[in-house]
Amino acid sequence: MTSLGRFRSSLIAISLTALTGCATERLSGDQLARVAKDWALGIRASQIIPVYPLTEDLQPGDVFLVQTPVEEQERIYLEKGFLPLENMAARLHPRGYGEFYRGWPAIVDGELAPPRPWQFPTADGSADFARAPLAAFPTYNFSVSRSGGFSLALPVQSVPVGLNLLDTASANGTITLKDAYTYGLPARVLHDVVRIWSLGSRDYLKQFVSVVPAAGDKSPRKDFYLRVVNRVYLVKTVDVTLFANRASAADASAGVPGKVDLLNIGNGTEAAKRFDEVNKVLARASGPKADNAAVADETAGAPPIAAGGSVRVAMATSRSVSLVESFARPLVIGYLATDYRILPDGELDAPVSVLPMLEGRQQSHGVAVRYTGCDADCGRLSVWLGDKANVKTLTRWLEQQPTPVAIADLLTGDHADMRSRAVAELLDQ
Amino acid sequence: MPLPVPSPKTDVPRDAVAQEIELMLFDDRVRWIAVEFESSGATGDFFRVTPWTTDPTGG
Repeated sequence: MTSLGRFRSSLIAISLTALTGCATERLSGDQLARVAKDWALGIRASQIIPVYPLTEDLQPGDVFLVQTPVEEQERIYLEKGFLPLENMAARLHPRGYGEFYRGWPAIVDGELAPPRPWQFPTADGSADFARAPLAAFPTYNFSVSRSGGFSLALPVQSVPVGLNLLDTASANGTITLKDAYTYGLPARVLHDVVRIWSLGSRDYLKQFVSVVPAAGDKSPRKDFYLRVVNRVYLVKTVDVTLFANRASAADASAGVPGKVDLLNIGNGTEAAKRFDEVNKVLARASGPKADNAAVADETAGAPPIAAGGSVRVAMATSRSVSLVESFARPLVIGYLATDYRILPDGELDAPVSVLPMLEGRQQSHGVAVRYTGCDADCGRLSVWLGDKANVKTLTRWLEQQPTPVAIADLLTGDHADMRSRAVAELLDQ
Repeated sequence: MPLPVPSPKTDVPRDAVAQEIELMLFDDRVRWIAVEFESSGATGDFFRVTPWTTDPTGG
């Protein structure tokens, strides 16, 4: 390598190491919150609930305790873009993968239930999600600006790296989530598992009784929920392409070639070497595993593509740069779940899908039924229900019926037979 | 097993709306009730009464 080449390598190394590091350090608390929200907004557009930070350690059957009122959850979800998963109550190990994925290669229940066979399929521990169900996400467009902060920021290294490689004050870009996978279980299967678990955890669940505000207190009632994950979405690779809107003043710095200029493929064979040099620097910045890969590749002369999480430049021109970021193993970026309200005795209420609730797409319960009037039995029951103790008696009686209905439906719906039985068994006995 | 939440009711006469609301409120999961005008006939006005367990306004 010539002295000029070594100088350029050193220059790239110093620039990228400094820039990848300080891009994060410069972020204030507000900007970090913005990072989380903007990422989450992109994921939410795909109709799944975002996970932030990204994690590998989330799977169907995970049960979280949610202590926030529904209205408050909606507000937080809309403001922050995601819901923190903070209080994990249990990890259930539901069976049913074999039946649900019948005929799918190598999906079984037990110790080797998903995602284990894909996470650690071989002796060396390398992940192979080739047989996992595939998912696909749309490409998201975004813009970044140093002056105004990131107008879309992502929990991946590629964006700040790309921005600094371009050395531009602002850029537009696209992000593509590649190598995406999904797996899950029907909510019905998990429902049974959750019920069984709740029966054995009554003492634990009883602690979380609803907090009803005192008379005159306008604060919302605080209910506690169990959030049960039933499907997760994972991504292994993120492609980021940035298009510079305009060059920065650095391009005119005396004696220092612009970074994009160094990568410009228009410069002929030198471009390939520079790609290699840049990727080696990025690999070193990705961590010890990547560093080892980089050292090994230096001797082999091939561009380092780290086995661990890494960022590498895939393409660059004078005004654009494309980067590929790969995680060591696929990470969960979103999930679907159902909520169970915890009732006073530690029992669980009927399940409610989380996503429609968070997006304010609440549904009233059940199909509308026609009002059938209040007949004589209805009249007698109405008077009898004036005593609050009788409401509990009727509720218990209804719960024991083969097809339980709500009190309002019993009295004024199409349930004349059940009404007369209720009168006979509860009022006339 | 908890009881299902009350179903929305249609064709509720004006003079039965109050009673229907009272019956729905026996279920303490019901936190909002919408009363929506449906039709007007020779026998009077009819309403749809819809119980909600979460705020239907999204607010």
